Amino acid sequence: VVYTAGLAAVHDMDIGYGIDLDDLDPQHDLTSSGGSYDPDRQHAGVLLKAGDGLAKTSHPGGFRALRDTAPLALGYPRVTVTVSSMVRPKPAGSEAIGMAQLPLPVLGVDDGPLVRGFTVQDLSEVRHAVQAYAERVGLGGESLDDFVVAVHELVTNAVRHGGGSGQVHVRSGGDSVLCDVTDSGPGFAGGIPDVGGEPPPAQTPGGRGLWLARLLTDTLLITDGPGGVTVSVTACLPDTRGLSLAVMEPAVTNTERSVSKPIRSEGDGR
Amino acid sequence: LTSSDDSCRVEEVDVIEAAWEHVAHRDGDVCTVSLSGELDMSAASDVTQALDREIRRSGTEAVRVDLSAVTFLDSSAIGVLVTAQRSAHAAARQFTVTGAHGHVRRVLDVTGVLSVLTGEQPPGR
Repeated sequence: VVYTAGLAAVHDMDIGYGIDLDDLDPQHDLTSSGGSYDPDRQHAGVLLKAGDGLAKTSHPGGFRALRDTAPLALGYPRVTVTVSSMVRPKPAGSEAIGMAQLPLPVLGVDDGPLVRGFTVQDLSEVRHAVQAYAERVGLGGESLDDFVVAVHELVTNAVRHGGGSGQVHVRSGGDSVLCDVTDSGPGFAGGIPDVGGEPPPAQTPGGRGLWLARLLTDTLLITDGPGGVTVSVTACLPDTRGLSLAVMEPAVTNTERSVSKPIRSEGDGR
Repeated sequence: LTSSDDSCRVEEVDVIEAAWEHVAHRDGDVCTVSLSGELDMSAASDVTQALDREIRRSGTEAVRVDLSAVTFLDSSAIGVLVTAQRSAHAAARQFTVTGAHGHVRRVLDVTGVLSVLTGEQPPGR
């Protein structure tokens, strides 16, 4: 499952089992697996997935930055890296290989997606609608607040930099809640920003929106498409199957590693 | 481009006016500005003006911003507070933020501005 509604070149690469990202040479492993990943090029998104299909983290700055900042693959038996390349500017006569319009994963949702357009006047309204939706599909506690702030930041960005209006598309994908925020603005003049590192200095007035959205969600994928920017975020829902993440610990361990962002394995007591 | 799922169902939206408030309480040379409600981009310029007014009021030595009753705060509001603190310091006024709790505190914390805004840590370079 790849979480993007935008037009993007997407390639799934299986890069191994029980892998420690520190031991991985991205160039070697990724290119030899037949992918189109170029570690020196900026890609729109890199999505790291564990064997259970849950997306755990992503990094718009590319795999190297991902490896440096998010050692979250540790503890999962199987790792897939999904590379979503920018499609703008789209070269004339470019090959169609790898280009995919992916179906949106809407699994077992009773009440359908929340689709809503917005302008600057709708910030509060959209925020509350997203909150109500996410709560209804199972998000709660801090995860719910995190998701609401993240989506709100993306909506604010669209209003501010993306032509003044946009659309949110929120849905539940079974084990996660997903939201695409799409604008029709000019995109990122300086390329897809790197939002995976340190926060902007405390004295800086701005520049925290995307960074905050990335920090407060489980994945963030930026698609800078021909018609505008789509930023997709996901939040994993509390595990209702009673499956503990401990079950998925690899037999081979090399686990003296700090995980920068703990994976939530429990519900919120609800 | 297939847009099967993009039938943009735009619903009728009621505009919520002024989801936030502020009250300034002056006690000698200390002014406490109590903010309440939801602070987002649409509140930013008004909050900036309200804080500026107190920072520039003659006789004020210290401005405290009480966030106890703030239920939502975004990066725009963080920008407002950071900017106001800089203006206050430039005008030789103290400026501290108090009362942040719950998710408001979390947002200030993860963005690394909490300790600077509360005055626990001096502003950096």
